[in-house]
Amino acid sequence: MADSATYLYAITREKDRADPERLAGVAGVAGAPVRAVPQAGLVAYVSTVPLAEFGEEPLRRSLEDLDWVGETARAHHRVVETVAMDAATAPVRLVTVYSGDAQVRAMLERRHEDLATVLAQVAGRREWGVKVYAHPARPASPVGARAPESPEASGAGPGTAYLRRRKASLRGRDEAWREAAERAEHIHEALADVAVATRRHRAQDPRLSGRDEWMLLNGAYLVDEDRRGEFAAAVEGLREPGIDVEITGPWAPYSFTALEFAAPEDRDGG
Amino acid sequence: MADETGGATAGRTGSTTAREPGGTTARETGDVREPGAGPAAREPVMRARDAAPRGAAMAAEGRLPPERVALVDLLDRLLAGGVVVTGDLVLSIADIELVRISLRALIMSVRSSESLDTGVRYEPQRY
Repeated sequence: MADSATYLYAITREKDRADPERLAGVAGVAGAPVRAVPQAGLVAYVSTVPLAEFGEEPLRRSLEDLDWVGETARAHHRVVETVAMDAATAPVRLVTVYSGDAQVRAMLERRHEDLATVLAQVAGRREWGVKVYAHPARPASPVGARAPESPEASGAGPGTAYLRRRKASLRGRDEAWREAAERAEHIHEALADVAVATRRHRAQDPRLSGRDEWMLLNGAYLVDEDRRGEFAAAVEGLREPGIDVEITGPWAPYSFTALEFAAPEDRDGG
Repeated sequence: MADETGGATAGRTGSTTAREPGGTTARETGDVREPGAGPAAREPVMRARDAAPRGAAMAAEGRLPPERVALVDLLDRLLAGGVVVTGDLVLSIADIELVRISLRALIMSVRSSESLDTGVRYEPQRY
């Protein structure tokens, strides 16, 4: 049994092949160098990785180690970004490990048409992330927002402050939620008008996002490069009191290349 | 949709902020602000007090390195997006419930450490 395997980061068309010098300057997962594996008019970007770290059992352990996951995710992203700098790129999901280059070539051969279709769809386009947060039912004044133990700081008596807080929190929390969700729908639709494709990710857990507000929208938008300014302006135009709109990007089109090549006959075909 | 965990937060108004996973400066993207300049920098993986000066410097250089990308945003994409292939594989994410595992770790980690300045400097959590 071999002691190394092939870790796959991304796929491009051969005519978009990444500059070898630039590839040489980027470290992949576990610090491994990145290679290009061409086949069938496509190029796969890979690293040789030790099975001692990327075999099934070591991975099961490593994936519980957040430092390892963070480091690996960033290394994966670094390679994808390098490749995607000036090429239509299909990123591959984190931790996709083949037994060798031959298996990667076989996959490129077998999935050539699907991959070419996807790459044509993302060519000349970039992904943008837009997150919308609402802080509904916020009191009109800062009273009671932070200091329940020291109401005197607000200038009101403890009883008054309590009643004010209670009133604020009871003032239709459900209604506030519905209203906020509607605004998020409106925002999503407005951005979808400028995008060629959209995808909504699950709202991030508040403990992960580090924000107390409701995350109403965690959207990804595939935008033509020549409409980039228009998209940014659309995002800016959505600003309104009571919500935060956060844009990230440009990203490689992670959210628009989520092909699932999962046919069971693959095992026989390779 | 989001869990209903929202609370009253004082002193915040509607705003638009920007961070960049890499590739371009804020100026090139049009009307978005520089990374670290706004409330977005409150994310646990990118605290404003630490990220603002360095973030601004990085933006001035033209791109933010992957180390500055919020890990949560990255995992949204790396675990839910991208091409998924099976067959001939030693291993793929489909074989391991990474999402569950890593998010549990991430949640625990975010809870236990309040002074993060990058997405990679978590306190180790083992289970």
